[in-house]
Amino acid sequence: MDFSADAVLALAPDDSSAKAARGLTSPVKWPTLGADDRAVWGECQGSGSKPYQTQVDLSGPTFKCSCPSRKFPCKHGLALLLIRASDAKLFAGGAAAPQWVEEWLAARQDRAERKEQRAAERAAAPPPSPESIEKREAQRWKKIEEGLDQLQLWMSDQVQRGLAQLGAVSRGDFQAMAARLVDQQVPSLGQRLRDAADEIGSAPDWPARVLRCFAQLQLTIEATRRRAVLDTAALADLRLALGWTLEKEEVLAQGERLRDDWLVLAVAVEQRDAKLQERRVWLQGLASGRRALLVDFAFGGSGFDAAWIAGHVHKAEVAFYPGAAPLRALVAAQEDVLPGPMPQSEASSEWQDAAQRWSRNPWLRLQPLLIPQAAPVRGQEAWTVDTGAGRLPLRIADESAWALAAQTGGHAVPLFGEWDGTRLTPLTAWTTEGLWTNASFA
Amino acid sequence: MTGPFETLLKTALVGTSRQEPAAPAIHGPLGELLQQLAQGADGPSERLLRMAGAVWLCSQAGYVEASSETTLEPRAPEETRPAHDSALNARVLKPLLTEGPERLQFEAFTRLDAAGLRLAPALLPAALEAGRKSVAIRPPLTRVLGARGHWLAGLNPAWAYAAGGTAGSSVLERWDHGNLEQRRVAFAAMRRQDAGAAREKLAAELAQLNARERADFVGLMREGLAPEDEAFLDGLLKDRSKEVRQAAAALLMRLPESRHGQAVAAALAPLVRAERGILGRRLNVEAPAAADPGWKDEGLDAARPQHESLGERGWWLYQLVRNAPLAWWPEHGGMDPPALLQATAKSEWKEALRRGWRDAVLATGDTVWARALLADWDKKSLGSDHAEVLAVLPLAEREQHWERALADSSSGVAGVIPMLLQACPPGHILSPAFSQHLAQAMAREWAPGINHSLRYYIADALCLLDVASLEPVLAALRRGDPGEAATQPERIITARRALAQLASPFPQASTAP
Repeated sequence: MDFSADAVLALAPDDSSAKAARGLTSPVKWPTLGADDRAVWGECQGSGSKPYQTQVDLSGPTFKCSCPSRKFPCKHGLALLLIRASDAKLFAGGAAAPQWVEEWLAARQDRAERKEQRAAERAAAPPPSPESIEKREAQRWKKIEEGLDQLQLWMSDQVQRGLAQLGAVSRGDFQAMAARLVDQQVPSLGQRLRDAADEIGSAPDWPARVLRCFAQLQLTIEATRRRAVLDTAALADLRLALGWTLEKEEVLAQGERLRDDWLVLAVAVEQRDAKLQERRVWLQGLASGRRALLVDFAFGGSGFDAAWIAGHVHKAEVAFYPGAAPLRALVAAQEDVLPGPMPQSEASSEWQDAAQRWSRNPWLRLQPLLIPQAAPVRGQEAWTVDTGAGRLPLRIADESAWALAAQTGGHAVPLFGEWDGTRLTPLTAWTTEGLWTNASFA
Repeated sequence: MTGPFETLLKTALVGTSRQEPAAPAIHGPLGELLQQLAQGADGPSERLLRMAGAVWLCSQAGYVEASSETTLEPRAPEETRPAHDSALNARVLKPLLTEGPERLQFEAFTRLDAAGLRLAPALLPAALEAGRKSVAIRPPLTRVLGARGHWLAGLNPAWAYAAGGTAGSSVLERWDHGNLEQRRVAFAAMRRQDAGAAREKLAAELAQLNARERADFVGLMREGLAPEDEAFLDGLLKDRSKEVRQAAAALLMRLPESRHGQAVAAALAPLVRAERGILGRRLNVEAPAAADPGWKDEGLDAARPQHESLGERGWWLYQLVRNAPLAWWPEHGGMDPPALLQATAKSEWKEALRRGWRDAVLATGDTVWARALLADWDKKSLGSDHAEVLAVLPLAEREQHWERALADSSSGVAGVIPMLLQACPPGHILSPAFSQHLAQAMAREWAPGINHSLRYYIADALCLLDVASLEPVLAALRRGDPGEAATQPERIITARRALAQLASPFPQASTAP
């Protein structure tokens, strides 16, 4: 990873952390500074008597600090890297790593080894008997069906009484049903219902949005009831939609492999609830022309491991999750990272690909859509883009939209975003002033 | 014509308990499927939801963009200036745009302009927002927005102050069609070009302007003020609004032979007598015994306000004195201003005189009288704040006063800085010598947790100093408490140093800002 000041600041969870980090870059505040080829460390004098011990494992980068901050990475970790970016000589004291650094690095090494060992054990262990696998799966399907039965009753109820009756008070009702779905082990459907709850009263066409959400959920319910007649690929897609993903080891074992130069089209981080963050990384294989989606989760502010940045190219091998229109993937092996070119595409083939994906996998929620020439347009109520062939409505916060308008100057540029069937959430734009990325998803 | 999804939506809105769901009529396989679904065995809600599912999936796959009903806005025009080096963005410019202070923003824009540069597009929204919140920074800001900045401002009503400010649109256009801010700028430009014509334009529109606007524009007539303006201003002495009357009177005082000035002087003449006594010359001043009805025509306010320390007669005298041409006093009294002040030091009407003279100084900017008042400052009549009168003097002279205040002050730097901040508008930088003294004093006094008041002012104060003198303060900040209080001042110093190094990429004789 590139550790220039700008790249480090880009890792900050929010503006106030970046500001606080800049305020800590005076070497006077760091009585201890050191580095070797594995890690960077330092001790920072805080307001207490004992200085904070901060360290960064460069292979991630992964941060650890003894300060009580709940932000990730904390201002001390960022400040440490900023100091190194402006004056690496300060770390060249030559002293060996102190004990608290060695301990942490050893523990990380340990954990990584144990993880590999467990994976090896699982691979080497006798496979569980088909009967026990079947039994576990049957149990889970039973739970899911119960959940979906409840959902069917509840949705039918809403439609029977009429969507016009929904109001701000109804949101609680939606949230409660969403919670029940989580209990029945279909958390992704619960998330969809929560998104629908947010739509109530939000815009003039909100009833249509709610009905669309119900319609999509209905397709999932139908499919689950008739899963016995679905082929393996469709069944795999259904399970993904239900949030019942395969284990990583299974994907690595069964999934289609593809080695390519993968251009990072966009990175979107969304808060899922108080403690959970979801990160989607959209990739474009430069040789194969294939698209891939990496999805990771981070709990309790622990942050995401590897650094994926829009516009970079990763030489890597990915493994696709099985399905009828493979999109979701894992990284199996990774090599270099380089700056990347502007993506190329044809508008008509983008729409064709999207239509194909939906026809093969009806439960797909988000499409990767690249508009070769998109000009942002400010309408009366909302922002849209002019694609040359027409207008697409955008889902974008005002602040990000002004940044996009400023960087493009209203000129048409290549724009990548997530298409949900009615609105495009723009994530990355390739402008003459450099890459624009959507600040709401940073 | 409603689409199939809309048809289903209508039923969903009212509820299947009230309306039986019907299969939307469509040709082809989808239509047939919908017919089947409509006739299923389950309840109406399930049937509706299934139909909605099928229709939705097909609509998604067959999506076509809406056609553009409105034409595209014009795109941002080409730039005429280069942008600054992007290395300045994250560390220097972005923080100062979002966190200020105002003076630093002013300096950043001024230096960018002097170097012939414009702001990078990524910074434009933050810059326009800063300009929305602070009127003072708008003049230098609008010069560095570049073509794209003006274009962007045109898209957002909140940024209208900066829209269409390019050299393209003519002054007349802006006067005729612009918002208040743009008209003020246009009027000032018109006065510079042809003062008389500008006055005629204002006179023609006067009836349609509200009091605030009238006062604003009259104030702007200070530009290019000439005896030809007298008749117009004289008429405004009878304006409904007090603010307008006062603005007009202030300008008339700057016209030496104005009828208004002579009228007020004539009213004063009988009240002021110079006498030659045994102890030298004396000035005998009497306050008017009664309010003359003629004063109203001169825009004089005879009604004494409620909480006024002066009595009724003192108030009348004050009104006369504040509107009388300052040149009249030495003529009539035969003494220069310092002597006049001394000669009235024991007068019964001292407060009225001092306040009147002070107001006259502020209205006309007379430096001779300002010096005299400052040298013989009467705290009792005028209070202890002499910053406004000081502001009449040129910068170099003011610094002498401030140096003295700094040396005398028992409260250290914090006693002087508020005065400086009030007196110096954004863009004013103190002389290198004075900056050095101030910087050393600030460095001495900066200590963790002790000097609270310095912490309030230091951010703005740092923007007043000459850049070369900042070193001692930076050293003191770094030595001190590594707490939050030092963060902003350090950032400001670093930013000012970076800005001072801005240079035009083209070889050009740059005039130092």
